[in-house]
Amino acid sequence: MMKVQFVLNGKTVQARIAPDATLYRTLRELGCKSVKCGCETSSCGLCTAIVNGKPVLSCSLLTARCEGAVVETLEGHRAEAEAFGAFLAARGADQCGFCNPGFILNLIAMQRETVHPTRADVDRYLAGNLCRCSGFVGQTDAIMAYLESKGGQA
Amino acid sequence: MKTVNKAFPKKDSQALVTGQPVYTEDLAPEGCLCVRILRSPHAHARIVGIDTEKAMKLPGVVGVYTYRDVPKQRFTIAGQTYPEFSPYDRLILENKVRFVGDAVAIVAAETAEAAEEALAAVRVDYEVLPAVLDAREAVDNAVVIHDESDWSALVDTGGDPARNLCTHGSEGAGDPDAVLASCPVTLERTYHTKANQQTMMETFRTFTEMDCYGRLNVTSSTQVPFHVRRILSRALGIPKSDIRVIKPRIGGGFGAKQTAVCEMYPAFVTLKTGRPALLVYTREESMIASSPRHEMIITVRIGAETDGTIRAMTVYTLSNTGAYGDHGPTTVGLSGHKTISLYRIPDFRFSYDVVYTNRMAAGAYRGYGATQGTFAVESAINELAAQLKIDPGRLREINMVRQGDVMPAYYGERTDSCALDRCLDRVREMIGWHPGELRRVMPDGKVRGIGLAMAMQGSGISGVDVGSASISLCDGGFYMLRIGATDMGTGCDTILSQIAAEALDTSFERIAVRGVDTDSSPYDSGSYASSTTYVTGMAVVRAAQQLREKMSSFAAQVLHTDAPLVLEGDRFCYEDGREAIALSALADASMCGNRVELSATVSHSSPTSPPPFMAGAAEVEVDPETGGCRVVRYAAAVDCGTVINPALARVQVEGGIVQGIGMTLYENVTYGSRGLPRERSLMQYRIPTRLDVGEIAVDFVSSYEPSGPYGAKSIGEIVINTPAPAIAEAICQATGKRFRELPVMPQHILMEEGK
Amino acid sequence: MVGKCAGMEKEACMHFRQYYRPETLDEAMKLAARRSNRIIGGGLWLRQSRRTYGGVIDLSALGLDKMERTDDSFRIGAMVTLRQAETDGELNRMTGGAFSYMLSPVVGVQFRNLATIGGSVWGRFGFSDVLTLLSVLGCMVELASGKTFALSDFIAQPYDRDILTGIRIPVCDCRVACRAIRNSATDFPVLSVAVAAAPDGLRVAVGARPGVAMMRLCPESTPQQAGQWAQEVFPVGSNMRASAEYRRELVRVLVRRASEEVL
Repeated sequence: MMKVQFVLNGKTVQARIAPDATLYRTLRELGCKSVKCGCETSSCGLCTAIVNGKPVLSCSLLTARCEGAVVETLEGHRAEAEAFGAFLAARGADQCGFCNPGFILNLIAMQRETVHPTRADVDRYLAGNLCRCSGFVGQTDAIMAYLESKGGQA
Repeated sequence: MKTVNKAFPKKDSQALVTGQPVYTEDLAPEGCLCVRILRSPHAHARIVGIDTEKAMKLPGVVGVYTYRDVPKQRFTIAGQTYPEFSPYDRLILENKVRFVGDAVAIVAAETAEAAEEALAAVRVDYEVLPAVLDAREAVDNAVVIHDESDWSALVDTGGDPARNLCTHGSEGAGDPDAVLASCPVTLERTYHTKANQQTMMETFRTFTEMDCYGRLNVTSSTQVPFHVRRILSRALGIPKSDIRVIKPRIGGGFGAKQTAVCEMYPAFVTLKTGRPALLVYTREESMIASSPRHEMIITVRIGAETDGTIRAMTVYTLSNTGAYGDHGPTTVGLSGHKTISLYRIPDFRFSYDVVYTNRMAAGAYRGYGATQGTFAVESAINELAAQLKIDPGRLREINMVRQGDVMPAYYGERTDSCALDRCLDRVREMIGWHPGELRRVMPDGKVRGIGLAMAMQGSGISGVDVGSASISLCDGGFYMLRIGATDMGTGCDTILSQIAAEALDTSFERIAVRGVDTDSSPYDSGSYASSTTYVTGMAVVRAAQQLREKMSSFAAQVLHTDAPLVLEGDRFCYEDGREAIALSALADASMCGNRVELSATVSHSSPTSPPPFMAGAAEVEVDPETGGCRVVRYAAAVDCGTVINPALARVQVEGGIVQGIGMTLYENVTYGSRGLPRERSLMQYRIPTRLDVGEIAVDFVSSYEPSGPYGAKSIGEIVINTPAPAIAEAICQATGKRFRELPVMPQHILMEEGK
Repeated sequence: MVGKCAGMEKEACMHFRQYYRPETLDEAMKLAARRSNRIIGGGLWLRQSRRTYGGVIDLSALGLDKMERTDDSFRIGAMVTLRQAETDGELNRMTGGAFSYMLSPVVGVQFRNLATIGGSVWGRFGFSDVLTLLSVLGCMVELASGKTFALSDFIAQPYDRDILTGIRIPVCDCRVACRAIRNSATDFPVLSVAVAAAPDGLRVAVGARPGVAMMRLCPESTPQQAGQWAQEVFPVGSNMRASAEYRRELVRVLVRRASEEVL
């Protein structure tokens, strides 16, 4: 076992971990249950976390490497999740919800990198977030409506 | 209408979008034993020796169980109403394994690491048997997959395990052979659809624990909690009264979770150890030992006049149920019932064989046989149109089923709500259909083609499915709606609340609802067969009516009046409009010195299963030099009767179409020569990403179904049926190549002449 | 807390007892010399390995995550992520957007933020889009031992216990174009092609054959001929994604199309 310290959703946390623990596992142990797992092959995007400002697959990142890192999960973005979630739900595209945390977190990451994204930009940035319920169209509609509403406020 | 036909957000949406811990694994208690399954590396083998001693001695290992430890009573894991059509052909563990991935031993340990070590430490000696992998070679093969003496079927569906036959039968009307012989135009074609994985994002998972009453509590990601209770009772040999099943939020189902794929393993561990136990399937397990779509090989014969009038049709389906018969006898039926009935055909025959092979057992996947049948019959209709040189839209106009028609291939039901003709008109408008102009070459050399298909499904299983609703007037005047139907993300908690609000003339917010608990929810067959809105929805309407009557007479009693009272939102009024009593006051009165329960529970079942209808049109773009193919546009016009929630219904259509696109263009479960499934991960089994989806346009063309809640039928399944035949036809229009086997991949388009 | 039996976590996962994050290359090389240790780059697919190692050496503290432009070359550190390379302005300007074209279909942004150039090159995977592109750029592979290899030579080398520290791409004003065919948008390629019109001639590389990327100098002068030539020169095979026959057709078409862009 080894010790690791990082900032999780704004708070410094320490965890005792196995050296081969993945960040996915550690985050769930630390109570971040929004982080889900859908595969063993780095394919689905359910486990998305933001580490040092970049969205990553937490199932494929060793917790040990996160020493000193700044880690974000959807638990740290409740207000934005609610705000965007209202658009998603209005379109009916929240569906089973299992992919929502990873997908919404990646949307948050996208906004930091992309100014005024088009539908094509959204599709490219979020392509690594699989969803089997919605067919994606409703997700993208909701994103565009949400971004427009934010733009309108600014 | 106030709440019906409105796009309310789902009642649980805020929890889902903020990532609350509401799914099975999130809810598992601390200290759960970790359950793992040792799986067979052989497609067909007998276990001649199994040694668990070394595994048992490993630190942290609590139990290792083999076929010697489990009850000897066969059962089916198909979540169907008793008596199930699926044969009782499996045990929790057996000394015979029938597919690569079949369960060999159950391991329970304190940690995942210990469980994993234990799996590696179990020694198994197999006598490897020859395997049957090809459905076409299954019947009367020397290799018998179910040679056990205690195979049984509660309902005779023509099965004969000694012949590897799970089901066999034939039905029809008139004399199709004679009519075919007399028709100037005939066509016979064989189509082949493959196994597909539902690939819900949340894999199969269950945790179990004993409660303070000594009862087994099962929390599971399932579509069929009441069936799970019954299945576990038989599998484990314990009384049904000792089992409680809870369905929390579930991460998608699409039919996969209409089979009790994993519940029995942790349940068995908890019974043996008394300890809570959790089993979460890996994606790999969900790919190799689950409940995918039945592979079907379907031969269609059509006889027609030269003017396009179809006079006879025969459909023969060979269905591959895999190692066990879960949903085998029932899925096959839809491949004929829900395809032949799209047309007015007096003489028809539908015959079928469902065979055992040494592949993973198939199960229920959205569309449930209708999807496979629709690919065959709608492709054949498109081929007939080409043969007759009649526009495929026109050919359908001539022959399609219309409102008021009796459908002899659909249990003789008459359709009282059919807007298929208007769906066809609308979808052609949406896609820009011009007869004779279904192909165009783009400036960059790519070629586009447009194809069309129609579909129908059912709304519940007629005379079988039971939906129940219980509504109570509660403190302060809100209503508690209890249902046994299982919201799997599709939104039935919300839709049924909308129906309740409409029926009680109240606001959507006043209806509280919760997930299923077999101890407290009224009985429901579960959410499958497109039954929830139609069957359970009607139970809600009827429960609301009964509750209104009860409340009304209780109000009269409280007010000591004989005057008629009318429920208007949150109060009862006299006929002249004056308020008689507020609902909140009535609720208060019901909780003080009262003997009348303001609650109504109604069970509903329908003698008919009114079909929803749909027309779909695809435009594809093919790169003639690489075979690359993209669905650039898909248009869908759907008649699901009254649309209860337009947002949720639309997403059903969009999601179903995208699954259908995946099925058509790349999704496939293939096996190596020794029966090892090749697609074991999401890296190899590719489902569509958002970059694979073109434009999708959806419109609703509603009929009104008199037997449904506010005119509603169903939507969940029909939406996956049109993409395969419409896309294959569009590819044919673009390339001149006809594909009769799925999936149609770039290499097929470029290299093959069509097959 | 369910941590103790976190459902899917442990099923298929690489295990190891020690985690090392050396801060000097010397230290890293000493650790790498031990047979029981292994190096991880981006860490992708570590859950697919069921092996147990004594220790894992994480190269993330060695400053290998930088891209440096000198007068005559571009040096990409081994730990530079695919996403960095995909979005790097200069690298894409020099190659006509080839890095962006080849890397953007790889799974998803979250994947490409972890996967590294070093890992892709070291792995010498057949499906690697990066290798196909790098093959036509005259790329050199630099190792901690001080050895350097031309990429094609490196590909032929057996896996050893050296450490890949980076690659060096000579600056040139050659025109580059890529083509790839996938069965679905973010899948492994069925075939990938890169061409570069360079001073030494038309460089043509074909990857996902499904074997590892191969580069040859094309003696032909028209795109049509280049396609025909490539069909003869590059051996192809079958796998789950496509047959050899189909790949053979694709080689001709994709090489021709890419060549049309640069010739």
